[in-house]
Amino acid sequence: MIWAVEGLSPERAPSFLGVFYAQDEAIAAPSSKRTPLKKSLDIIVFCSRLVCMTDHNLETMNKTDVERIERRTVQYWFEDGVAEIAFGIFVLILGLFFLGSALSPEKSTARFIFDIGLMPVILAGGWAVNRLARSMKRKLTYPRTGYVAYKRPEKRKRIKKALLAGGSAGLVAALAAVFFVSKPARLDAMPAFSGLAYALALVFVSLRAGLSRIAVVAVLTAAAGVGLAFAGWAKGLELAAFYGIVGLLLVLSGFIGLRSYLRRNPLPEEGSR
Amino acid sequence: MTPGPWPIGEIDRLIHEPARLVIVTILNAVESADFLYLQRETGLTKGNLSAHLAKLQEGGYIAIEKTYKGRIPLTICRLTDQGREAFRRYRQHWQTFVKRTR
Repeated sequence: MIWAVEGLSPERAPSFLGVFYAQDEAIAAPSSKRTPLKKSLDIIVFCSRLVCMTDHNLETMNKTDVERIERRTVQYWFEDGVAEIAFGIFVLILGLFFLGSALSPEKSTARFIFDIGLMPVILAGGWAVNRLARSMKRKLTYPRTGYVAYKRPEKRKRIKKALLAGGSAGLVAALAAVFFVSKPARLDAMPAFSGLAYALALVFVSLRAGLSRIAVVAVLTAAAGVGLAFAGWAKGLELAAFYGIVGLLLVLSGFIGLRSYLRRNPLPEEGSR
Repeated sequence: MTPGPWPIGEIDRLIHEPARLVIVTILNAVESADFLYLQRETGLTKGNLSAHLAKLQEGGYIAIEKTYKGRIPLTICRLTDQGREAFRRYRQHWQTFVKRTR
């Protein structure tokens, strides 16, 4: 059998390799033990298998297995929980920022600094999250399960993504501005609005990464957002609490993922790389 | 081989081998990956993986860079442009083959 010969474990190998497996099985029996009738049957079986399995397996290879392998590389980024921890810390910092803004008196210098400082914090945070995640992965993940450098998306895809992100951010900002300017009382709806937006994004990540723990965080995030919208707290505090809760949920989920990953993948012995 | 109705003769045998096909498919999905990652994802033994990587390198399909991260030796593999093009062609040929078997 090809897996034994090649040292490839069948359960780990993509299903399209079954075509080679089938061919191999069909010709594996020693020819001396086969009668002409058996030989003819073998040839018929082999040909039908080749045609049927080729059709099935190669379709699968093109549409599913290549995508599955590509998806595995995306999953690998989230598998250790490091990305969640880094992003959770960033969300916690945002929560502290909102808390500072909510607690500082209106029209004070502190409030002004918090208001104008939000955008630089978000931009710097995005960069810092990436750095932190990579640095943690260098120490924890790469020595255990290997290093992967991800492909930069093509220019057209990058532009499309940037436009989508910019458009979404612009839409959210415009909606928020309309809420704040026309009816300041609508500020209470912000946690619910943010909760649903974050939950949607987390569901997307959960599906991409194939991790159910992120889906649980998404549900809890939506619940926290809706719950805080009806809490009736002082303006701005519910938003700070929302970011605090989401940040903690992400960090907690990340640590659970990291603990499980470290248990499953002990450090390889010295010189085994 | 004389060209027939089946494009099987055009199939790239260097990629066609099951273990190498997995390696190339993985490397096609990323910019680069190290030996440990490839070993984990393919389930191949070290010796087998080394042999297949050497064949792909000889064919000019992958580039192997041996480096160090601190004290740890690191073998980084990446698909060359030639390798990516060969994989694209390989998939195209298979698709043609599949269509003709219907």
